[in-house]
Formats: sequence, structure tokens, C-alpha cells
Amino acid sequence: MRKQRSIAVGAAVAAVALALTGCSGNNDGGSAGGGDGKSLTVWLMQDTLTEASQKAVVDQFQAQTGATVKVEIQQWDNINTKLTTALATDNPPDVVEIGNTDVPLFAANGALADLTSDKKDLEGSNTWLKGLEGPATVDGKLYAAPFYAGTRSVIYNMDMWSKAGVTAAPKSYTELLTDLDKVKATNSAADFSAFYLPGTYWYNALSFLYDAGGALAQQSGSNWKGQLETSQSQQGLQDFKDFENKYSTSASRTAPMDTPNPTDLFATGKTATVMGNGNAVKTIEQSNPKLVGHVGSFPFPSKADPGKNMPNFLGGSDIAIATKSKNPKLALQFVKFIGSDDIQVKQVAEASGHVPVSDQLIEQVVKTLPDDLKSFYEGAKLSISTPATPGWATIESDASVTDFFSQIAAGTKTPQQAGADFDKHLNDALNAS
Amino acid sequence: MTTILRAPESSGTTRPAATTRSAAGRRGTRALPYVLLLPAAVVLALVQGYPLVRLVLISLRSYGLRALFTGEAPWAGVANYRGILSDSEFVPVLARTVVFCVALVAGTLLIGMLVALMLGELGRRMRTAVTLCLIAAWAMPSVASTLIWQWLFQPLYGVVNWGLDSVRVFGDFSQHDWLARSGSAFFVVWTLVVWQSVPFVALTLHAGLSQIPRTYYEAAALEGAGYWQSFRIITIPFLRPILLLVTILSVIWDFTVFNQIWILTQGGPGSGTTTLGIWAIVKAFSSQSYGQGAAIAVVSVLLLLGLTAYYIRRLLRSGDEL
Repeated sequence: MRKQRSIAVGAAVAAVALALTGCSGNNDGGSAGGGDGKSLTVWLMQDTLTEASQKAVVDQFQAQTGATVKVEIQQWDNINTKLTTALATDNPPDVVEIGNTDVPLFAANGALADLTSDKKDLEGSNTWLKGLEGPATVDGKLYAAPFYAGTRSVIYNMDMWSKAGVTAAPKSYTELLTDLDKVKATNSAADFSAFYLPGTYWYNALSFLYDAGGALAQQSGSNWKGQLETSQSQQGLQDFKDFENKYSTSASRTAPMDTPNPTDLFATGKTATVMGNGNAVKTIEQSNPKLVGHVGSFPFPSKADPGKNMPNFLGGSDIAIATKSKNPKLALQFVKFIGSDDIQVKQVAEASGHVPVSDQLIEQVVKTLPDDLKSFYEGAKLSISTPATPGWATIESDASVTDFFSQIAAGTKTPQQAGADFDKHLNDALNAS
Repeated sequence: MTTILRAPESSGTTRPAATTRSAAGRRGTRALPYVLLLPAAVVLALVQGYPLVRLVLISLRSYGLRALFTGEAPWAGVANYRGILSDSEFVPVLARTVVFCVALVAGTLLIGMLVALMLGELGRRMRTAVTLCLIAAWAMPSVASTLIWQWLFQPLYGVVNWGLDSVRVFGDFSQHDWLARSGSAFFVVWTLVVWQSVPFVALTLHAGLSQIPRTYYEAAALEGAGYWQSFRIITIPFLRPILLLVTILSVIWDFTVFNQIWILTQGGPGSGTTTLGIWAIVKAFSSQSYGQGAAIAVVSVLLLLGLTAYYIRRLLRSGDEL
């Protein structure tokens, strides 16, 4: 009786212990790797490649090397935290796409593999765009390769504009204002915007800022100083506020950039104009096939310099290899593959609508561009870069830059007050490392 | 006498053998609960204990992003704590956390008590229906409910704005952004957290209320006591231990509310809804200062211990009395 009882107890304890460790255990995400060829985990960002071009890239690489590629799509929200935690584990994704403004943070802290010795093997590396290569270079060493450049232009619904009596794209700021006034007059619904521009859309706000002669911050020696309180910056901020308030709904002043998604609003007819990159045009045409051929784009005209365009924030991504990757050779092959002329021209530029990474390729692609993508290439010519220091990633992660512009747009802070507060934050964060 | 005492122990066996076996049996019986608890204790130690120890260790080091990737973190002693306590953000963040916690606990307890009283008065079918609704609200994962709240309160297309606008009592609400100002953002989070916390409080208090003997209420009615008088004199003293327990749990849970605030406002606008938990995450992951983030977390734990120590002691003491 006693013996039976202790056997029963022992069995129960063992069962419970096994069950509990099973519950608390976490499945490690590495793939089994059975069969021929190794496996590569690649992190791509949302809206980088269209579904079709992603499939083409993966299929071509798998056929070329015999390896399997597992692509995981990430959201831009809180991506720095995700990358930090993923790259610190012992089984990180082998290849990661990182926004060009966030690369300095990871490059400077040992998370990415050193590619300096492989640079000469990467196609077109001597004509790479500075805005993509610069942030990836720390102390002369290269930690990531450019993937694509992103510029933003004004995307407009040609039907809605011609209904308002405008048939040609505006060439100057004053012309833009008159055209938008005409579009605004055709539709007075509360949720309709002539130009949907969320107050948090800092890419366009930066254009206003730099167009007026202002700047985010300036470096003297190794010290960064915020420049938002200068009279030129203040003028740019006021211009942004006036433009945004006049043509966009009041709810958009504090709305996040992606919620509601401007491309959705454009596709459903709730707005006649949005700011976006080449990929946005593709997304709109995908959401509403009736709009194919009815969507046009033009670069945002300059207010200070009639006849020219506003400086354009040069966004885009780099592609890097994790230091702790289990397949560094295969990862390097993938990076070379992405940078190859064939993939850059066919998948990155033509299929997904981005700007390729070198001047050489840009010259090549511009010749055969469809009309609705031409303005994005114009925009790459006069570009703005954010401060190339690891501290800039803090500014993007804590949402202070989007908060700054949306509070000005909503009127909760005057441009003067907001500029003073943000300068203080910039001085702290940019000089932190 | 002795025969009767020994009889249950020696069920058909010789006396000396019976005594030794039952002594061994008693030792075995004493060890059995601990043996059964062992797997759970091991898992708890690993899942809760190890991170807690690591947290304290990280808070004593200068732990930035480089330390995360290379594993080397220089010793910093109390420098992180000094940095946190002398930070200009500390007092506003602490004040916000405490005030919000008080508002949440007060709201949850008040509404929970009212719902519990209502449950007592309902007929069986309605009571089952209300209980099921309460459990459904309670069981919903907090992230899912926060996303739904986001949709409800969205400026242009949310139901709340549409509803308030149709009633036409509050003016034009069609474009009102609830999350643009810290006051209204806190209100939105308050409704969400209270909605999800009330079921637990209501059901627990209802269980407590059903234990109070009806005879007391009848006696009070005979003496001429009104509803609120009998509530004050009979219900509250009987419910005191449960109320204390529920208050402590609510304080602990509401002090550390994170998911709802993070998903809705991320601590904005302009750190207007940044509580201690949000501040720790922002310091750690946005400013890449993990040592300071850990220090903030340790400070919050100590604060909570301080806040609840008095009540935990009272609860333990009143438990003994019962």
C-alpha cells in the first residue's frame, strides 16, 4: 500500500514536472536544416518589395545557390527594439534590412558584420548614393550595403484634379496652392482632404524646414546642436503648419502616419492628394485597380526658390549581416545578390517602385521609367539627411520627432515653444554616445 | 484508553511494526506536499526569480547597446539610481503613476462593488447572463481589447465619436482626437482598464457578499436600519478581509499597467502619459540605457512593496482572526 502510494506519487511528480517544463519551454526559432542546402533567415520591412517581386527574388536566389530562404516581414513600428533584441540573441536573423537613419546605431555597437573587405565585390559600390553609404560607415569601416533609396513626391488623383479644373501638374508653390484650393472647393465633406498630410508626416515637414533655410541640428567638432529656434527654422515650421491645417482634415493633425493609411484614403477617394514614395503608387494601384493610369506624381515645389523643388528627405534602407549569424558566407551571397544590377533594376526599381542605390543605375533606369514614377527620381537630386550619429535612432524610437511636428500642426505648442523643447531633447540625445 | 488510542493506528498488524511504520508514514506525509510543489517552485524560480536577479544586476552596471552585443558591462554601483532620482522627469512620472493608479483603483472598486451588489439582487437567469458577460470581458487578452479600443476611439471613423456626434449634446465630435491630449488619453486608458478589472472585483465581492448570513440583515431591518446603514454596519465589516485583498491586488495591477498605455499612446503626447513602466521601457529601448531602465523598474518594485506593506500586514493579521 505504502509502496504503491510512493510509486503513484513519483509518477505524478514526474508527469507534472515534464508538463510544466514543456509549458515554460520556448521553441527556439531555428529551422531544422534537413535536406540539401542551408537555410537563411532574412528580415525585410513592410512595403519594401511587392509580393510578386519578393517571390521572384527568393526563387531566383534559391535556384542559384540551392539554399532555402525564409523571409520575415517586419513593421516599422518599434523596429529598433525588435532589431536590438533579435541581433543580441545567439540565433539572430542572418540578413536584416535596416532603415538608413537607424543603421548608425547598430553599426557603431558591434551588431553588424564588417563588410569593408567585401566592398569591392559588391556591384556598383564606387557610385553608391552617399545618403545610403554614409550612415553605414563607422570609422572608415563598412557595416551594411545600400538596398534602395526612397524619395517622396506628391501623388495626385488626375481625375479628381481635372474635375476641379486642373489638368497639368503645378510647377510652383503658388500654383500648387491655387490648384489645391480648386480641389478643396469641389468637395466639402468633413472627412475629405484636398491634400491628406498627417501632422506626424515628418518627411514632408523636414522639406518645409530645410526649404526655408532651417535645419534639424548642426555639428561643430564632435558636438551636435539643435537648430530649430533659428528664424529660418521657425519660418519653415510655420509654413508647414499653415499648409497642413489648410488642406488636411483636423483629425489628421495628430493622427499617426499609418493609421489611417494615406494610400487607403487615396484609393477610396477620401483624398485627392497624398505624399508618398514610388512604392505607394504601386500600393494604390493594387488596392484600386480602377486608378491605374489615373495616378500622377510631381515633386513638391519649393516655396523659397520658385522654379526649383523642395529638398527631399532621402530615405531608404541598407541591408546588413548579423555578427552572430550562423551562415555568414551565404548571407554575404544574398547581400551581393540584392545589390546586383539585375535585381536592382528589375525588382527594386521597376517592380517595387524604389530608387536604385547608385548614380550609375539611376541614369540607366530613368531612361525607361513610366511617367508616374519619374518625379521620384527628380527628388533624389536635392536631398536632406538626418544627423549621421547613433543618437539619432533615439529620436526616431521615442517618437519625439513625430510628436514635435504634430504638436505644431495641432497648435498644442507654438513653433517657438516646440522648437525650444525639441532642441533641448536633440542636444541631449545626439550627444549622448 | 490506550487500546482505543492505538486501535486506529494498528489496523491488523503487530504493535511495534505499526508504530514505526506510522512514524515513517507521518514523515512521508510531511514531505509529500513539498515534493509535489517542487516542479512548480523550480519553474517559478526560473521564470520569475532569475529575471528579477538579472534586473537588479543590470541596474548596478553601465549597460548600453554595446554591452548587449559584446557582453561587457562596466560596474556602475548606484550611479544609475542617482541618475534616475535626480532626473527632472522623475517627479512628474511618479506623480502621474500614483494619481492614475488611485483613479483606477477607486473606479474599479466602486463600480465593482455596485456590480456585486446588483448580482446579489438579480434572479438566477439574469445573474448567469451578467456573470458570463463579466467573464468574457475579463478573459479577453489585454492587447486585443486595446486594439479594439483604438478603433472605437479613432477620430474620423470610430464608433464613440460617431455616437457622441449623433446625440448632438456635446457639440461637434466628428474629428475629436481622444489621444491628442494627455487628460483625455488617460481617460480612454482608464475606461479600458476599469472595464477589464471590474469582473474580477465584482465576482470576488459577490462571492464574499453571498457568505454573509441573511439573519443579520433581517435583524437590522427589524431594528429600523435603512439600506445604507445596514450596508455600512453589516456588509463592510464582513467584507473587510476580501476588500483588503482586492484593493491590494488592484493597486499592484493598476500601478504596473503597461500594455494599454503603450499600445494607445506610447507614453505620448510628448511624454504626457508616461508612467513608471513606460518610462523604464523608453529609457531602456529608445535611449538604449538599459541600466537606467532596470533601475527604474527596481524603484517601482520597492515603491509598490512600500505602498502595499501596511495592507498586506493587516490582511495577514485579519486572516488569523478569522
